[in-house]
Amino acid sequence: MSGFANRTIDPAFVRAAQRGDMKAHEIIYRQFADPVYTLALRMTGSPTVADDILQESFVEVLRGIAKFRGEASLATWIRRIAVSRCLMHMRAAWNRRRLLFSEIVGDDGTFEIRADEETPELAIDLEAALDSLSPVARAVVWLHDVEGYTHKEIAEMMNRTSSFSKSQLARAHKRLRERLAPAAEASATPVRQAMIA
Amino acid sequence: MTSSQTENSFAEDGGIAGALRALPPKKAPDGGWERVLDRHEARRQLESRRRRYWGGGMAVAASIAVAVVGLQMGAGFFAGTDIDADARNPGPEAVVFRGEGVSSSSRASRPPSQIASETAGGAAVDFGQQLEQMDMEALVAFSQFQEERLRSLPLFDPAGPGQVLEVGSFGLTTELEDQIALLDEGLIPATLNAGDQAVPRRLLQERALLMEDLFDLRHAEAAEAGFIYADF
Repeated sequence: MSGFANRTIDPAFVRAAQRGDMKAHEIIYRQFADPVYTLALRMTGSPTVADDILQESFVEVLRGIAKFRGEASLATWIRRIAVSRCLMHMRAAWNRRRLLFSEIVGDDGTFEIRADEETPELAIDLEAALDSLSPVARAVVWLHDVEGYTHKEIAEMMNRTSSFSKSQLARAHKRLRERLAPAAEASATPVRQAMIA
Repeated sequence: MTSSQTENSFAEDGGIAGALRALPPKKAPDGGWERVLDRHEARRQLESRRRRYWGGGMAVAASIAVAVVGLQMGAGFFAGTDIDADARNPGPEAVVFRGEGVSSSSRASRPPSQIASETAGGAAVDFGQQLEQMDMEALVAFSQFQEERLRSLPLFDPAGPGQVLEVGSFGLTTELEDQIALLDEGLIPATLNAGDQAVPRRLLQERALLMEDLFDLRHAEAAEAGFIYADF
């Protein structure tokens, strides 16, 4: 998990940060840096990009915390900023054609972006299997399965439809199962067999 | 996560989602806070410069390049347009066009608005090719048209209050603004005295492409914010 749920912070630090206290900002950073980095790394698959998103997210926190009204928890607020930054990165990448992938346009106008094939031996590991997904599919899986966003919320964040999110998730789950299947068959344990069932 | 841990996670949660949730958190790289502070300060300075340069959010400064080009091209080019004397050494907002009409546009091979309408909406026109065919005069006229068109959009600040969570094109917009400012403040004026007009002409073409992208983004932002109808 990203770890946001386990992180709380004394509201006094938040108020101090809102007044411009940089020490309070640093405390907030120390508390939430790991969850933000984890989220960014899982969503983008790149440590370099994740580090960049981590910094961008906290620059955003520095700039915007004065407007944080406390309607949601600080963890939720920071997580949303980090998710936004991840999606902005992906969108910029789409626009600039920096990623090497192919688009497949579906009947409903949605599309799936498929990453290049990677070495089969990596399929044994769940993290590697996650990394094997396309950027969009990986983001949808992480946002839905781990961060708990609904398809509607994901669709809004990605400027897509709910059905797009659902289909991306279904395809990603299928792909993950396929990736993990050889390892499960090799181990032949009931647990692994169950997880790909 | 080891294979056995993965196995247990699947067993406990009964699916992929549970196993993903059980993946351990990663540790952020060391020195991150110092880099955040550095970036924050750099961003603050950049935004201060951008505000100064772009005025109220529109292409106020875009006239600078046009003015400089016009001055270099000789008297009478901007007939009917009064340019402040200090335009020869312009600061970010040193140049103000006092006349609205710019006769140079009439000298362009085709009206700028026609070129823009051809490029909008996915018409089968190669915008880059059209720019290639423009001489300096036409490029300047088209630049002015682009500025006016950008000014006509309602002001919308994606980074403004209440917009901090917006997943939008803010990064791209500011990057485009920075690139245009760089051209206007440095590159274009620096190349005008080189004698060879091919370089500034190429830079003006690049600027026109950037301005077109900027307009598209700002138009999309304004439409998304409900300020205008996305009618093209």
